Amino acid sequence: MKKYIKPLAASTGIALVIIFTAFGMMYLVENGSPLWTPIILLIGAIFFVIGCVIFDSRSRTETLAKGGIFSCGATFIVTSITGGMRYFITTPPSLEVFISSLAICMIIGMIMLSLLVRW
Amino acid sequence: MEQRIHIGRRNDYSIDFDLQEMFIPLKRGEEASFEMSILNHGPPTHVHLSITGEIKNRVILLRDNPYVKKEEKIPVVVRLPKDGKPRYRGEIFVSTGYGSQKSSFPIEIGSVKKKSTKKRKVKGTPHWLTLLSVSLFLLGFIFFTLFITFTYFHENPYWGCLVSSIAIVFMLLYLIGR
Repeated sequence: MKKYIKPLAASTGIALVIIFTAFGMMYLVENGSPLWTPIILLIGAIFFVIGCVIFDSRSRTETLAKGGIFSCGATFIVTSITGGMRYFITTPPSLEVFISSLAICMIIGMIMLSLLVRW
Repeated sequence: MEQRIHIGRRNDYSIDFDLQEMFIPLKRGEEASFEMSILNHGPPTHVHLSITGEIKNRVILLRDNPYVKKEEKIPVVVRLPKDGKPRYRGEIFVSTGYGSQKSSFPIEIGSVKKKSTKKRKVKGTPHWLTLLSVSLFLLGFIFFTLFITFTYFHENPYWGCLVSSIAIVFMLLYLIGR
């Protein structure tokens, strides 16, 4: 039983991140940034430092490139999720749409985990 | 240049190498050392390393039977004799799962030919360049999807946004996976 919980939790987590990022994109287009710009920059800087440490390699260019990409992606996701939560509270989707997208994203999340992270 | 050996990444006791072959540039009479990392993705296990071929007496593994919990670094010393061939070839064998799994990678030591330097340079760049091109492609894809979504499907942009966010998460997981 234990061995199913971990991948199930991971794919559900990824699915929720994808769904809230999608809601966040809609929020961004309709209302603009949900966070104060300096806060977004600070989050980006923190993620850049964390990314450079996580993906540290012998080549400096590679470290900086990986850190930069990680920082951009993670900052966008954090900002979007913040907006996505606001959007979800103010304009909740229908249960049908939410459950369908959760199911689709769970499958995609598991595929991505097994292909990219070799779960 | 660092060789990383992955144990149990694909399945139990599977063996994978980051570099499919290694070349150590050395002049005659020189000595060099480097480290090989063994990364264990499964339960702790003993890993056995051995050398075959011409390099047998020229490459010395300072530890040949490490117990790997998560990661172990194996120092390797390489010597090229003053008199002898300019290049030596051989293989480093890695076995695990009590000998049930065995795999190897070729290793060559010796002087650098101009041709091979060029080849190595070309081989070295794709690692971050591939990553950058994949990220740029995904970024383009995200912008394109969002453009199409908010131009033609602005009444219900949810599914287009979902596709874009899948691409972003894919980008992050791709980065982590590499």
